[in-house]
Amino acid sequence: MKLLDVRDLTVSFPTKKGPVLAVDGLTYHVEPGEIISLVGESGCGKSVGILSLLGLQGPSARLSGSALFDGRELLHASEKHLSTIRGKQVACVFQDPMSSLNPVLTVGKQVAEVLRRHRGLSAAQAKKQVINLLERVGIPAPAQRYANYPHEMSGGMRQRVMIAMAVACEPRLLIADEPTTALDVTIQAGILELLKELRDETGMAVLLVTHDLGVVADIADRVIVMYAGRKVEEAEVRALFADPRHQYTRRLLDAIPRRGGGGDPGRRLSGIPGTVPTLHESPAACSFAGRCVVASEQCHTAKPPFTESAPGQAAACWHPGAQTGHAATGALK
Amino acid sequence: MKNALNGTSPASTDAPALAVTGLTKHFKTAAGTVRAVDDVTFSIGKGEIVGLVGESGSGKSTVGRCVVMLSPPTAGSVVVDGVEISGLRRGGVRRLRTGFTMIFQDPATSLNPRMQVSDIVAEPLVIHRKGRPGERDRRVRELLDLVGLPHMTAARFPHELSGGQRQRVSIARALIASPALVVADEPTSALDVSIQASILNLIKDLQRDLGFACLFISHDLAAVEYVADRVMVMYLGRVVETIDSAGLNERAAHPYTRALVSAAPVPDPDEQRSRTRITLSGDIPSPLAPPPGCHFHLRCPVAMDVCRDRAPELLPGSGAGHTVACHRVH
Repeated sequence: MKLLDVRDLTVSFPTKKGPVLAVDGLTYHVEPGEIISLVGESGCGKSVGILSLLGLQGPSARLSGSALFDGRELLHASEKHLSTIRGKQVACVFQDPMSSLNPVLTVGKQVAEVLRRHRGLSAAQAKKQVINLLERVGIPAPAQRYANYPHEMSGGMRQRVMIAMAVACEPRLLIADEPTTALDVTIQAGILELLKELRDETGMAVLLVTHDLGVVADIADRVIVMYAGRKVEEAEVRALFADPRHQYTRRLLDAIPRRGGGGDPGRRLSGIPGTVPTLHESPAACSFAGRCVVASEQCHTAKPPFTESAPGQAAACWHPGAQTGHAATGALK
Repeated sequence: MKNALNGTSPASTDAPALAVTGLTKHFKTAAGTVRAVDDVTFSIGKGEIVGLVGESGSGKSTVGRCVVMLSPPTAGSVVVDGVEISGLRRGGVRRLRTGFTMIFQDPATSLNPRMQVSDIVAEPLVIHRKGRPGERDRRVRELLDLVGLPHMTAARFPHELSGGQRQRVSIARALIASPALVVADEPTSALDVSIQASILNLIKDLQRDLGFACLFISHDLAAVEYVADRVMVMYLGRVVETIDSAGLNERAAHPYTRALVSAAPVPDPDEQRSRTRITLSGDIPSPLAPPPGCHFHLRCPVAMDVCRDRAPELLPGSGAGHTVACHRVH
């Protein structure tokens, strides 16, 4: 049984220049206990695509499609229904822990609030439980830290508090939107490790939104690549890195600097020329065609269907196999 | 390129592009003195790119700002192209300013939104009264060509450009007066991956063609390794290791550098999941009260008693140009 089943999700925002299509027909699902990653660059719709699941998309957004959590519809659900799910069965961790925590309450109180609200624990029970949770997420001296205000903690510690709050009610799905982007790499490594441990222990699924392919390589089981509001590729993590089937994924992997071989003057990254198209309409073409080096006429006139190339791997690309390695694109800047 | 638009001629031809000795920067705050940079010494050869890496609070940006005198150092000397600039008054620094320029992280906030691109790029020439208007226009077009922007960009305003194009404008502005030294502070951190690659390539190409020296500050090890000839690692205000980029993976000796290298994720699932990670406990201590001895000893997995008492000196390690400040190594 799919834990989360999103079908044809479309989110648009009205603007003076006409509606902006932030998410254009996004379909994906999450299995219990799975770590699935939504990857893409700024403006690809990855964050809006998950915020809209929880009614956090903003008042002006227009939604269509469907998103079933455990068989029950989330889109257009009543606030009352959503509030029984949010925080309890589906929890969120956001990028910047400083702006997600209340600066005038101690961190202990904030985590305790979740337990009292959803589990009906007494103040004393909740405090005991919070100290256990803080210890579980790797905060040293949790009993003392309970009384700290957010500003008294470092960024990494604050993100651990956010995670403690998110997992307090043992959610079945944790949505993490760029949870390590604001953190240093040595701290990031610890947070990713913690997410994996919590998944292994509690069997919760994790829906991780990130732009960092290194993070994806570290933690994801399955990956969904988004471009200009659309899903362009979906694959098991190893297959995606070994044999990307969409030209955008391929070019994105070629664009990241890799460790090793430093100081070699002959080494060259290949960037992607051009910029992301505006999202004012849903083009009847591949959204990436304008920046793609192997684009043919077909790519500019017909939207490529989402086609399975191997079990579990599918892409929306007319030229999934075309090779554009470093050698072929060396001349491009 | 010898004309009135080019920078000041070097005072001495064999001096390094940048020589920094004993650089110290303290900030007085209500809570006490923040020791952002603590006795940092290094040099950058002519035409060399040196990467400066470290985590937030390591002092890497402060070093960059002190080097170009945006923030005058508390102590120590900064010599650019044979000329000492650290003791100069404001006017003296200003006269020499075309020789050392800066590229900032966020082009959205470092470009004046009310100026056209042509005026932004030409401004260093205008301020320093270099060249006639016609020459300046020609030079602006030259620079736009160099950074890969079409000439029609000249009449645009920053908000009409994409992030990558804006960063190209900042690079053009930084290079128009032919500086001997360019400090680039996280020039690609605000950009998407696909755009980042072209900006890194651009910096590399321009440096090769124009021969300026560059201090490339970043938290991204892979980007630094790609661009720089040599990498300098900072921790809590001090340089802990300097090593050529090629040796960063295998020959890095300082436990902090090794932890940093092991924590940066590799975009390859098989490799990433089979690596052994050095996990650091705790956080970077406050620069208000840095620990005694080696600044890293509280988080160091191999700390000894001596590390708590005495700060290690930056001494030669293995191979040319390798220096490391660690009691375990020496």
